Amino acid sequence: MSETDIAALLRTQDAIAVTPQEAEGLARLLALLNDTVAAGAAVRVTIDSAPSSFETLRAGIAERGEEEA
Amino acid sequence: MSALFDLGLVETAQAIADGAVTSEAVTAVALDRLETLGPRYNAVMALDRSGALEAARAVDRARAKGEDIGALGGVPLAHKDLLYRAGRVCTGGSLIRKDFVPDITASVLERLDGAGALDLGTLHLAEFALSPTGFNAHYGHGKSPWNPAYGSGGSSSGSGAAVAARLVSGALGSDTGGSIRHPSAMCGVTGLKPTHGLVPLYGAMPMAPSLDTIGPLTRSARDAARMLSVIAGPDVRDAITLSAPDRDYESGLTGDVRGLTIAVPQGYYRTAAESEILALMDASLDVLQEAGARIVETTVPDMMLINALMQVVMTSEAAALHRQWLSARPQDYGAQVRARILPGFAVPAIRYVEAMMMRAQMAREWLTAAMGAADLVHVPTLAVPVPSIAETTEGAPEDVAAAIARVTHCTRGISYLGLPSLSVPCGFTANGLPAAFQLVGRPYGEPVLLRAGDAYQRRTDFHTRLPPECGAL
Repeated sequence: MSETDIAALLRTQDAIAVTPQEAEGLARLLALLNDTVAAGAAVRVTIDSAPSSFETLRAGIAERGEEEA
Repeated sequence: MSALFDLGLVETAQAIADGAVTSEAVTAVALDRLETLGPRYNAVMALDRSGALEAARAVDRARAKGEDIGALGGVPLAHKDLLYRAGRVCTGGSLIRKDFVPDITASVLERLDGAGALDLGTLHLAEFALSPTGFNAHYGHGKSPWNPAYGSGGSSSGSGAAVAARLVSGALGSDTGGSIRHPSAMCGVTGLKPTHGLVPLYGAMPMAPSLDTIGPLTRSARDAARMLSVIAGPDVRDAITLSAPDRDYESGLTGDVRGLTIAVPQGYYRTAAESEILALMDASLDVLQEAGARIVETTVPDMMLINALMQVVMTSEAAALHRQWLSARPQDYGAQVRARILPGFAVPAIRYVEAMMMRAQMAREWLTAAMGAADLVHVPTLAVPVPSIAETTEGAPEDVAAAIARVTHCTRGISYLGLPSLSVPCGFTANGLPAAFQLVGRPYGEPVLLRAGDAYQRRTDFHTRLPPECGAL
């Protein structure tokens, strides 16, 4: 998404005005976040990976008492 | 017995329970120090002197009658100003909420009340808990008791400074990306970021609820264990706690780490660490090894991915919570705070959902790589010496951003993973400021972390050191 697109998105969607400098920084950061997370998800998130949550992991560990050394 | 101001939390509770001191005497000392030293470090938001002294006298009367005064009976505490107490102003460190008076009381405060602790008032924090250094455009920067030209760390800036300067022996903070661990490390105190979901968040101003945690900042691991025993456990008002254990965290502190294996991940954490930090890390590992722990080297998974996932979750949730105020009152946000929230408005929903769906898997990947078959992980809390306030507020924006990012290098990913972490002071760098390591565990692994932290502190005295101008008044 370009700087112009980001500024327009925030303005029209959430009524938040950003400066050109803020839009430039956001564009750089969002491209990095988007690409990194999408690449990570591509090899981890499948239709059968849900339901999977941290809460379930935590509850399972509590159930098994794995925290004790 | 030490001077009253220099007693730790457990020592204070014991002295009051034994009748060696009165709660009123200890509380009066704490109030005097909060009023005189507190402003020097910008640690205090508001105090209730008369209410605190009256509560202290009530504890003393109860003890005199032989009543059970609780595990923290008569111990004066103060907490980060984002925990609601019905009828008391809670600013959240913000201008927008400078007059906000909640009508509910946080679960953690109710639990401390139930254990007999006194609540003397509210402590400074970064605006809306959104700065790792203690920056606050409205109430001033949190300052280190070791040197006020340096930040106290954030966002629980007042909690770290107040415990280090011996204003109180314990304080609650909150941690979303390192906000308990940064001030603990930067002020030279012990801080516990619990497993996400161990301590109820009800009545705490949220920052990013999927990551938010509440935990103690204290002088020692034993003190932290006492506070955690009181505040942790299931609460029907916060469903994420329903699988949380309800236990005594103090009973396992034997001073013995024989049989424990400590993993030291190579790569990400250590390559970013400056040489004097690495030397302090290695020295702390030597202490634990001499005490009987086994040390093994491990690796880490893709930390760039974990950090990106953390940022997606944090900024998306913070943006949702701040949307209306950021739209209507943008001038009431500090520039650093606004910059931390803004990305969340443009993160696609699918990225946020992916980040949440990947969380358990990433936690498993990190635990497999970094911990392996070990019992806990040892990494720096800060990979660099504590930065000065000028370094994180003045100069070119990219330099300031880089200085701030270095503070969170070792902490933010662990928040996304939801894991518990204990920050333990382990020495001082050339600038005279404290350094610390963090012990990271499996979900609900707090007992192991506290056991190892306590064992380390029985063999070292960094956690007992007094900042130079924080002696008797």
